[in-house]
Amino acid sequence: MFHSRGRRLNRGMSTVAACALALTGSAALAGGAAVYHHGLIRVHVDEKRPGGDRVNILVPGAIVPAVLAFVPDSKLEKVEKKIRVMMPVLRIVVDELERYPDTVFVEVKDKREYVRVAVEGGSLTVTVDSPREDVRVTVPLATVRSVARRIESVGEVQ
Amino acid sequence: MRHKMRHNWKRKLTGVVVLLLLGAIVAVGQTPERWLHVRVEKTGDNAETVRVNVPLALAEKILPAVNIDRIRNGRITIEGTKAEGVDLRALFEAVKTTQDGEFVTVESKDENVRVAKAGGYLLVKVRDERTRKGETRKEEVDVKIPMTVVEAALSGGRDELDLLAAIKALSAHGDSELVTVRGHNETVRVWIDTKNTQ
Repeated sequence: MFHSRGRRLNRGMSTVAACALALTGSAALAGGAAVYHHGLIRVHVDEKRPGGDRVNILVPGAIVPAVLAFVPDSKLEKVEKKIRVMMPVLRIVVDELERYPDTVFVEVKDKREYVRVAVEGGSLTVTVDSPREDVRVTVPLATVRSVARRIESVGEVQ
Repeated sequence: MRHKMRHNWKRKLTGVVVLLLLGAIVAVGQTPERWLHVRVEKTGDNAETVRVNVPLALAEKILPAVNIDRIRNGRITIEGTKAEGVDLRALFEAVKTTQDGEFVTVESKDENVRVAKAGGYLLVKVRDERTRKGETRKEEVDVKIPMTVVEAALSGGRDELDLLAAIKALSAHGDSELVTVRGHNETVRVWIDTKNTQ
């Protein structure tokens, strides 16, 4: 009798463990899919003065829309008002840029500075090398679109 | 039964062939993506290189959304500029209806300017040669704009240029060299082709 009860308990535990594993797996897959879809945001700033700051940020792009969802509309309204004129252009640019192959759109090089704006692997990359600092920013286009939509949604409510 | 199945397969195969043919027709009919390229190269003390690559389709989509200063709905007003009051359309119509040839020729000691129409293009050539402190500096400017593009640009209202229509006309045009400037220590090139790089 005990033997049978123990077997039932084991079976129950196995089912719970399987469910937990399935849930964890699904969450990991969903997370992986979100990271794959949004890609990674990379920010690298290297100040060239003695004792200058060095910043390296590497975060999944999927975090940004998730964080923005918790930002109160009142805070985003100010941003929306400032960039309202630019929003239609931004939306078109992001939608269109995803259609094109990897491309360097602007490249400026002189004796002191180097500036490059490109789309590579579905991300917008901006590079600025100057005597003061080196800056490299990579933002996935999907993230830019999500942010633009969130900011626009604040304007639509008004 | 077997006859019915064979008949179904034939119908499916015919459908696939028709779809493939339609796809091929659409693919052949599509014009390749055109890119506007700008390259500026300066040498000497102020050496600088600027490279810009813009897909014309992107410019076509963005322009109607840009409403800043003189640019509204893909058109730029020329009110208050030197061209205000000049009937550009009448001027263009006069040029368009006349035969190919030179319309303006200015020859001076330092500079030669030539404006002509040839093979469906509006051509501007400037040749400049000046001597300063015993050093001769040459500059050559060549502008070659398709007449269809000029016509499209002038298709808007009076005192405005329809940039959007001009870009559309440019997209429909083949690969072409639009502007070339060869100066003493500077070269500028503006052209259109189907590549996304320079």
